[in-house]
Amino acid sequence: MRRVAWKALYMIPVALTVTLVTYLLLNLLPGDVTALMLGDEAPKAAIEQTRQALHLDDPVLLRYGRWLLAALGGDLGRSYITGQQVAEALGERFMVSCQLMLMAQGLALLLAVPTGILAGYRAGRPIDRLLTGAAFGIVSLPIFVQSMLLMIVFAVVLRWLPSTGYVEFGDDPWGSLRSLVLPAVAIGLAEWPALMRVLRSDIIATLQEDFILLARSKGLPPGHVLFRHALRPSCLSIVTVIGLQIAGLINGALIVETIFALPGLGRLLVEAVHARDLLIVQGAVTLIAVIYVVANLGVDLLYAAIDPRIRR
Amino acid sequence: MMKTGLSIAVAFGLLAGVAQAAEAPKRGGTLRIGHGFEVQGFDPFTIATPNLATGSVASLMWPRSYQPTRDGRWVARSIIDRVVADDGLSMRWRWREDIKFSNGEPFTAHAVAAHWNRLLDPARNYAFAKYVSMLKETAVIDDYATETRYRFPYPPAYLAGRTNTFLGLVMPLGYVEKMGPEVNRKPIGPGPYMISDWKQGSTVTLVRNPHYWDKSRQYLDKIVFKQIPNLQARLNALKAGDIDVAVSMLEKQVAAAEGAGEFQVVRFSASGGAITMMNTAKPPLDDIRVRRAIAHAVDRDVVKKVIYANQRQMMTDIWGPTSQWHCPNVGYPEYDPDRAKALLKDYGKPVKITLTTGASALGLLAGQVFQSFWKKVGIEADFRQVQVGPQYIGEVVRGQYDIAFWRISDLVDPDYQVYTPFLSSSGGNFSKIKSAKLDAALTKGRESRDLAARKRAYCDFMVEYNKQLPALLGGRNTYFVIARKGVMNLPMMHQGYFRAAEVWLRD
Repeated sequence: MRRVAWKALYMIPVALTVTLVTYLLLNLLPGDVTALMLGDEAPKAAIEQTRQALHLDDPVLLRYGRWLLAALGGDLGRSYITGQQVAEALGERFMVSCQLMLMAQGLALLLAVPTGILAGYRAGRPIDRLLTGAAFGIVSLPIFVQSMLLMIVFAVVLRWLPSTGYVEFGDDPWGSLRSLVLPAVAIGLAEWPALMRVLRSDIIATLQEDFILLARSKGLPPGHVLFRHALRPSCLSIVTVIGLQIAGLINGALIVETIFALPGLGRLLVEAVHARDLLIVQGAVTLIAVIYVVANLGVDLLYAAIDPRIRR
Repeated sequence: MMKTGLSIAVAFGLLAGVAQAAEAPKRGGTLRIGHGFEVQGFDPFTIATPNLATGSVASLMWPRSYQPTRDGRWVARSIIDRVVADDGLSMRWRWREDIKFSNGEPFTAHAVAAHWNRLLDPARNYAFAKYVSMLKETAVIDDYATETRYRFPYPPAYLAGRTNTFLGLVMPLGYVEKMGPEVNRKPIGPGPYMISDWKQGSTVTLVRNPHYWDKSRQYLDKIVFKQIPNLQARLNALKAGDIDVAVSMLEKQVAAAEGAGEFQVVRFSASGGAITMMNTAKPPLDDIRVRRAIAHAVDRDVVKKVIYANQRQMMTDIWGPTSQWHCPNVGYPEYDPDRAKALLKDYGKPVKITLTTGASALGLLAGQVFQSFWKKVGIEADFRQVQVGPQYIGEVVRGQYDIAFWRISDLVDPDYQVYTPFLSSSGGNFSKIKSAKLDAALTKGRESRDLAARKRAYCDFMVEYNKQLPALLGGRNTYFVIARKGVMNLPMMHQGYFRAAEVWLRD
């Protein structure tokens, strides 16, 4: 418990550093935010007036302090483009990204665990070569192409699933799951090879251990040996990879979000960068930083659960 | 007094591909429209310039006071009539008395005047000030009549289409003040539909306004605008039956869909179009010989075929053959590489230019095509891709370009299209062209009350434009819609907006 508390406390300086660095970097961007708000033809006097109203002429650290205080109170400001509250926009998009990430990662794990174990157990055999070949084949297929193929086959030709769009879980749970199947499969397939290969390597190493030899010599069936004895000690690397993938997926599923028209966090961030919607960018980067830290905390806790020696 | 009421004949674009006979409209159903842009909101101070999706959604909540018919007339809808004063300094509007906003409040002259006077606030309206520069104020005459007063006699006011502006998003009296910044995302209009749900970056759903004055024309139960940024995915969504209409499609997709015969294809060829603007304040483009050489080097047949997939007409004047303002034979430079080389030789110095183009596949293609034309005649041409949006616009507005792709909007009156962009003293003159002849023609076009004289003025403008060449003329504004066959009464897409208010579904 104390360890968890320390880890949680560790999140605070990390998040603060990220927000400060982001704030400073956004300030270095060329162009004036007042020109965005007032239009390029606004007279200088009006620009000056707005700059003063927004305290843009104050030292950057003072402005950061003001932003931070407001952010701690839940006020992240409003989008310059749509007028939407930044916190509201982030909340809506985060739910979509989170749901997509869970489904995609769940699917990737469903594929990776059995295939990784099988490939490790049968290392060098035809089944291992087949799985490895399939993994390389999928990795080499760009996710854009993969997504389009899935869409054409399952939405356009077979009409089993919707081609694009997102349905909120609260509005229609079944419709929501259906709307995310194709994007989750596209991402899950892209994530599967890395997980499968990592698990395969660890399984191969674990199967060389003495305790596995002992289990086998006791006459335990292969399935029992693999799932009860070999899987748990082989999971540390895959958990590390999952931790990185989860955080990456929350904000990095841009291509899939764009193709399947999902209003996720990645799309919001990129569109905000293009439109120079700086408060959205600042808020999104802060949220992503927190997600990374939380995901890493989760990974650390999982390490301890998998291998009790780590707790000591 | 000049009455501009019931039917003002205004020639406009061409609608093709809609073979929908006089079949009785059916009521009910949900129309799902796939588009590519984010709906920005509905407060002009926040959005400044609406994109096509925003304008399309707005058209359902604030329909035009005059509506175009397929035979080229404009018919009064939400107003009884409009009367322009003899001196051209004011125009009186009489509104229908049975119009209500979607929250049940009456649509009165007080709301109209408050809205327009708010937009005239010089401390806030920089982003669209050029569009309201002719307006002095809007006064209330009685509960259902307003008077628009101009700073100078303003002939374009005679045209019914003048009212089709994104600035006319009138909301109930006091509503804007009550809502504050939230008004942008929680609008209330008097039109046939109102927003029931808005998921930013995903869908905007509209349902019937229960207080709309003409319920007989509210055919659909629900209209859903679905943002699908990827063009191929939008077409796939149509093929999969997830949307009924795909708007803002690419020329090659339209050609393919038309060839397959599976869908109905609508193309609306309007006025204005793509231009390749030259910064005439920067050498070597400050020399007219160089600008003309650049124009003569462009093979417009290749542009039409390669960039527009033969789906757009190439402009020789800004208005085009379907417009009442069309000026034939105004001397646009023909493709003549020898002439281009001769002009460059006469100029006598090496010519090096950089073309600014959008960071997209089409921008890349266009950049490569134009680069190859100019290289063939000895111009050292380069191109750079810039992210479309504020960055691109900012560079052009600040004059940080040599040559850049730009667009002349599709508007009913030429004054809006060409006065600000090409008047020497205008802040919106991004090509920096300085020409007394252009200025004289533009001023005459704006100030004359004689329609024939205005038309002559704009033809004079076009002749001089084609000599001075502040910008090359490209493909005419053409809007494409691909729809499934049961979608009826597809609208004419003035300004590219998909006005779905009177669409109905056969099945």
